[in-house]
Amino acid sequence: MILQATVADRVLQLNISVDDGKPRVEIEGHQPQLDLVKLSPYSYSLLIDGQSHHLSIRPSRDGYMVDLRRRTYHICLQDELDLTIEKMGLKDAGRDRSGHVTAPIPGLITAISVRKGDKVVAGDQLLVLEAMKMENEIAAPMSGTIGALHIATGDTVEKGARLVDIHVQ
Amino acid sequence: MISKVLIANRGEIAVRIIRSCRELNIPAVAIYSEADRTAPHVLMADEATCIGPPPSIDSYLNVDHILEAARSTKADAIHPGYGFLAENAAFAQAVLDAGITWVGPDPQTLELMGDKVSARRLAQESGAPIIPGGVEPTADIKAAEAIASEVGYPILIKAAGGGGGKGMRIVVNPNELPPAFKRARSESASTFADERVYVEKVIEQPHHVEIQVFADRAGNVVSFGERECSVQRRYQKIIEETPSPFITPEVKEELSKLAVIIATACGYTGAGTVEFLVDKNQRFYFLEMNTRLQVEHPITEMVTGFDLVAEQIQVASGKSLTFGQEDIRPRGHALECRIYAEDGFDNFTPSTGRVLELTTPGGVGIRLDHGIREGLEITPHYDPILGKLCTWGRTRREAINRMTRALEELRIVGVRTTVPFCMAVMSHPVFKQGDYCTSFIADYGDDLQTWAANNKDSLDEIAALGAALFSTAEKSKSPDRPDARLSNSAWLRIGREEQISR
Repeated sequence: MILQATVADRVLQLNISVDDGKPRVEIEGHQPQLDLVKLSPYSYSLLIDGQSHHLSIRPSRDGYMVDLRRRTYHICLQDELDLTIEKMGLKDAGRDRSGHVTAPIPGLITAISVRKGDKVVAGDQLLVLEAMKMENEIAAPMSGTIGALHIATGDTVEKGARLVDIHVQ
Repeated sequence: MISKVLIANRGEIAVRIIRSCRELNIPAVAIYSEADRTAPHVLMADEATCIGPPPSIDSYLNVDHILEAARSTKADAIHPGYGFLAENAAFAQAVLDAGITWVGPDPQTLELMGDKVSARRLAQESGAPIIPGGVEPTADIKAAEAIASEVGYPILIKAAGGGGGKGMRIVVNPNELPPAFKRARSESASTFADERVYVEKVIEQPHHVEIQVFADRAGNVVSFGERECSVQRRYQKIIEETPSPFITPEVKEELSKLAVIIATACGYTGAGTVEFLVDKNQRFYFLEMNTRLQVEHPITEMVTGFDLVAEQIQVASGKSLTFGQEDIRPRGHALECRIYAEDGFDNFTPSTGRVLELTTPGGVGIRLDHGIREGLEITPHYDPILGKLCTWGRTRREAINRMTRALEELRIVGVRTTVPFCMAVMSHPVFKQGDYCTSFIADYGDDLQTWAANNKDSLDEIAALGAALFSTAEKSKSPDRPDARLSNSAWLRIGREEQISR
């Protein structure tokens, strides 16, 4: 099976096969000796031609997260079908282009300075998000009109939660 | 005598205090909020009592519930750790009124030194210089503007009610003063219930140097030497070391002497820290006194061999110091890196999530104090400190090399931490030479970023191999689930994105 792995801005080709119950992977033209052993639910020992690597691997929203030597790699694996779909341009279908202001960190909404229908310019303060005792001003990332407010003062929000919509003129 | 200690805290400091209690053979009681039921300090303690729901105000700051926990567990002493109620005079008084021993200085001393106005007055009378402007705090913008124009810009605004960087702002010109003042005042009010702030002259290229003092009820006061705490982000310390690589032996001597005079003058007992700012010309100013155990106390313990928490408990139980100034002979060099659940390369944004994997370093000269375990959820309710990694070396260089090695060994997976950032600092030439000041992170942040990016050993292929092997193994596990093969496909991604943007 051919897989395409995208790591940051690098694209790698992998060819995976199973030989005698053991997976063989050809990566960028060479086929190393591999041995992967699970240590705990997320932790693995990987020997590549005898070189020892300690990895944490877990599925994420759009692929896999691999922790290796104090760094987290975000890896997107695509097979031939995935790549075909992407080529057909379906990936971006249905995406809403209006401005969604989301919570950069989890926290508590302590103040809201805008109302639905208000006109804002980029940089205007929208609300104050208190996290770990620090007050963080959330500013408008673009100019426009305030659409829906998804939060109220006193709400606790998760990272990435939609806070305010801004409609760009 | 103390027969049982209740620790009015959580996380790494609660764990650290339990360890000393164990060695003194005193049972330790943990308190916990509903969010901390399975936290390590609860698992380690002899007894544990729930004191309320997750928000600090309902749990770790809830005086009535904490006192009730002490009564019901028959604890006859309370150790407050640092943060939360550690410097709260009303709490200390309530503890004493309940007939419980308070492991810390008297409430009168907490009040005297907790109020920056009276603390600065006392320091000044003890012969310590004060920063220009920093005499009277204010909540009035007009008064703030007057002080600012008198001492000259840039000025520093900071909370009168407490420290830790909360409510602090630097203002370089008069236009910026009103919004910065307003925000600092509001942060001060919400964090310390006191909206007054100081408007002070900014000291150029300052070093944050502090002296650890220790006192008993009989009036014996000793200095445990200094700690240099100039690697700071948002005015909060992240890396500390002892001895200071910057101050001269004369300044060191003088700061120690002043700290002992100040501790004596305020009738101090137990462990305390007198903080100073030292400018590029070795001129120094009294900053404040922290009337509690300090986060970075382990490095002092590493070079002196003392257990400061055990000594705190001894002094609280009425014993006199069993050592004198001549018994404190620091040896070698110690460093501390604070491990926060924050992304050091993204403005120290807090990171929350589950600790999926924890591998801790060991070996010669390593000390790790932490309060996490695999599977523990890091929530946004409390201070983001996960632990402190300390190393000792015969020389500063040895301690730095050891720290680099120990940071490499430490694996915390699942939340972003300051570990990669600390590694970058250890490798920076200015830090290695030891001539950094409190603007180090602001001045060299880009260097640190670049170092981190360049040291991105090209392990993309290994990571990709790992992910591919993992996905192959996952798929072969569930061959009869038709959607398993597609679980990661673009079709599902489209569906998910549509739902999210709906």
